[in-house]
Amino acid sequence: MSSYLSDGVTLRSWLVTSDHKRIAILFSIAITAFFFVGGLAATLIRIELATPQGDVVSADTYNKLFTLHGIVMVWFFLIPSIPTTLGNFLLPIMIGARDLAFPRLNLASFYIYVAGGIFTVACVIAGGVDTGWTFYTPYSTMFSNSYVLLAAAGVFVVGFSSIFTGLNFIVTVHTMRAPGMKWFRLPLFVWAIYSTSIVMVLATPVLAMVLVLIAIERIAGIGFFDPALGGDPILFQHLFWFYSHPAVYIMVLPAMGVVSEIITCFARKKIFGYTFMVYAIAAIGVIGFLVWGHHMFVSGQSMYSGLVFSLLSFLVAVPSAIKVFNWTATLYKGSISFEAPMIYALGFVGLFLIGGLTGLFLAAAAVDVHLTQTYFVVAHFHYIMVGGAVMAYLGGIHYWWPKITGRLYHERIAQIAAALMFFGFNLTFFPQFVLGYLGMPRRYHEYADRFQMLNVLSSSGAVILALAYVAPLLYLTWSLFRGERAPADPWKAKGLEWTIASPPPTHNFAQPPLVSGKPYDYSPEAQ
Amino acid sequence: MNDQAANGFDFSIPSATTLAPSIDGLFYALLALSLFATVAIVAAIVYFSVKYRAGSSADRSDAHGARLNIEDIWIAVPLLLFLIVFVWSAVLYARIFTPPPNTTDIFIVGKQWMWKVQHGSGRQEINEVHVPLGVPVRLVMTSQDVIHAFFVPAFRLKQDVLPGRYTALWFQATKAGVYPLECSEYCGTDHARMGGSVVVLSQEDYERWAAQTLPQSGEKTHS
Amino acid sequence: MSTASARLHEQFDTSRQQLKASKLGMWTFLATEVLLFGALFCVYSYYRFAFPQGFALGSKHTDVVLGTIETAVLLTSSLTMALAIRAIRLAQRRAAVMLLLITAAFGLSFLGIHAGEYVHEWREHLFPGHRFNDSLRAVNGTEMFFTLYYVMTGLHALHVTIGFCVLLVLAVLTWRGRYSPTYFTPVELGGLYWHLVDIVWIFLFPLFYLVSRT
Repeated sequence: MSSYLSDGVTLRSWLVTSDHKRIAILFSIAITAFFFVGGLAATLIRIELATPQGDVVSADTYNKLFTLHGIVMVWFFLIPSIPTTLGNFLLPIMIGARDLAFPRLNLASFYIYVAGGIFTVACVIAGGVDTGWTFYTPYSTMFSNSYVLLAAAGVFVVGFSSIFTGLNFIVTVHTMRAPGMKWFRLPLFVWAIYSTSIVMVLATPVLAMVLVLIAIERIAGIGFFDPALGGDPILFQHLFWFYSHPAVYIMVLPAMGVVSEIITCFARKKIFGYTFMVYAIAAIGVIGFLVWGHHMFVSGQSMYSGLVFSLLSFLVAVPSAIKVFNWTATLYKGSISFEAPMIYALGFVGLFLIGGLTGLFLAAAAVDVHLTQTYFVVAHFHYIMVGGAVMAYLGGIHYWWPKITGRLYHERIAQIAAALMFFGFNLTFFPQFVLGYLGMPRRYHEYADRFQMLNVLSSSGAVILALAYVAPLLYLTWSLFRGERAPADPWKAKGLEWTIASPPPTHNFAQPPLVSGKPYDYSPEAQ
Repeated sequence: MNDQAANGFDFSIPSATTLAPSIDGLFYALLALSLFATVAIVAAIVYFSVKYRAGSSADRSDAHGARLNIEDIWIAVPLLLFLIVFVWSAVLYARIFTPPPNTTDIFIVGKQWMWKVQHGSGRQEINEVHVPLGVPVRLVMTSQDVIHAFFVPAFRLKQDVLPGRYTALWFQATKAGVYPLECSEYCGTDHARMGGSVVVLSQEDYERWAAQTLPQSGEKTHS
Repeated sequence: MSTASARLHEQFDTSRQQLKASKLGMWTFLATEVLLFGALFCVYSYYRFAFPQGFALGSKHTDVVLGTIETAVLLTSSLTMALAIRAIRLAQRRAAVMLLLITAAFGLSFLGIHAGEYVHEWREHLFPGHRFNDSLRAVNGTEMFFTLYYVMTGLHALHVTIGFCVLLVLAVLTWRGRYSPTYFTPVELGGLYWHLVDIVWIFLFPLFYLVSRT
């Protein structure tokens, strides 16, 4: 039986493919590799932090490790992950199209990503960069003796991968929906990816520009952010966070889309409040552009700016809260089963809830004064990014694994790994909330003795978490060779992707499907 | 450094300024709200997961009945709660940012990787800041190189310290003692070693201390 | 002119869909360009408010005559671009090629005049860094003005250069009969790009040449 996997078996047919499904696979290999690079950095960090003294690596090496961890995880894993893998694979199929609007641009996106990755690897080999992923000036422009330009080049280049992917998705959703696939019949995953794409396209150019400005200042010694020339280092922060706050929504919106798809399937019930969920996705995208100053409450920006950003930051929490309530309500009177994707999805809801609630502490500017720049912030964003986005990504990988690969993974092992991940994650990051409140600053190579117990707990959790990440790598790979063959619809799910074979044929649909019903046409009563 | 209980089981820090209890109050209110929300949602998820697990005999009729009123409620209630918390925080934030008149000013220069302190009397110190108890103190700070941040967990306060500019942090200490000071804005190699302490003395002790402007034996006053 | 029509790429169902996608793709790309330059305009605004005298003084040292000529050149080139598209619509292949080449020539002359400006400014010690004119440096913000001037007009010039290359390619393909009244999407998209480049200049010109010259 011919599928996109068997349609051309040479390496060349993969490397110059225009098939969105193959490009998704190329991306997934690359981002998995970078995930483990970032994970290796994290492992070394947690080993160092198991004891108060800085005795495993030097201070400079430690600073380079947390910088590498941030750069790799943000730009080479989290931002591309769901959009370039699950998004690339599923978006055309979910709307009933044969491919994206611009398949060759899609392939270009992949190679641009690789080019950005090469710069970053070159930076590490040359000796690394130690500015933190946030590149604050004037440290990055005038004081760091590390390879800032190489790192900035890597991020600059990979930003264009992001922009082109986003552009491709926007045009695809607007122009290539199958007959009958109206906007309000789109799966929430498509809405999430669409909103993410708009944010990617509008925010990333600002990052590109600010990196160019850092490079100019560093190379030519003429400056935008150099106080000696009348420049303002806070201006850098405004420009940087104008991108980097929407960036966190680029990371979490697709995860929310995945979670909606999974919960509705495994509760066998249509999502509660579909329309509100759509508006919430849009609201998060829009309001997300207006809150960047909450990273700068103690930066020296005016108190009035701080108050405005604080208010807006509380407002952006409302649509996220709506989503959490709606996911929970979807379970009501459903018919719920707990396969691995569902464990990941429910885990996401709980961990995103905690992450989001701790965001409120930080939005409250008066409390943020104490908590900012401490481990409280580190815990907050890891709850969202790791407890949230990574778990959703893994949930999505498991959910659509039969569709993508044509194989079933071993369910029991996957469920155990998911539960182990949930436990390991909480043990790693919950103590960090306490550490932050107690006053342990972030980016610290060594720390006061009184913080040791909580750090030991955190490092122990990291060991479990690491095992839980290695497990899917092993059993999913194993399933490629020995897994049971998957039917078209192993989960009895709704959605156009389940109407075609597993794995799909190259052109997805023999002819464009005609869509008539609403999405998520589940009925828990009929079992 | 002033370490807390040696066994590390101490989950509290001193609260040593006039504003610290208010900041803690808001913190604990948020903690209570968060605990409530977490327990409620997690309980609901667990309850639904058990009651409505596949194959259970729970009543699933009218599963899709329109319940949009509840949607409105759970938008309005969080929004209202968030706005209340915002106003509470905003008032407190304004107080944090607005020093009273007649502060005792102390001047601080942060540099890689130390704090240089100069008092109005002329007395200087490194990595230690002696301050008087019970009166408003304002730290006027600048950096010699990169951005640093002056953070005293026991005060619940911090402020970024910038090159080319002055920033200020005010407080009124309520308890004599020695409190850890950390740099909390990453500033390069020895960012983790740029700590010190804030020493709160009674007003008379502070005045006497500040008047001794000649270097004491063994004391470091210059970098 | 030929009756060429677009090759329908296999992901599309109709040429109308393909055309719609191409145009939306270009507009989306232009949005990213607006944000790219927008970041720099924000930096400009911030420093203009911080250093009004420095910016006024700096602006007096840019060559307003050359700047005005450049503006006229680019505006005219947008006109010739629009006329080129009209010519294709009327199946006037020769006219279309001529107009595309004229547009490209205008672009090139813009770059030439601008290069002349840069050389002159280098000689006048208006390039930021240790060579910068000391009496000007004494007024806060003048050096920042020139830093922004070179970065923003430089980035713009890069875009003009890319546009120039695109126009040459379009001219060659038009000459070869690739386009027709029913299919000229790449020319239209190229036109959109060229108009954006023109509009960016319309903003740059007053900000760098006309401050305090009213």
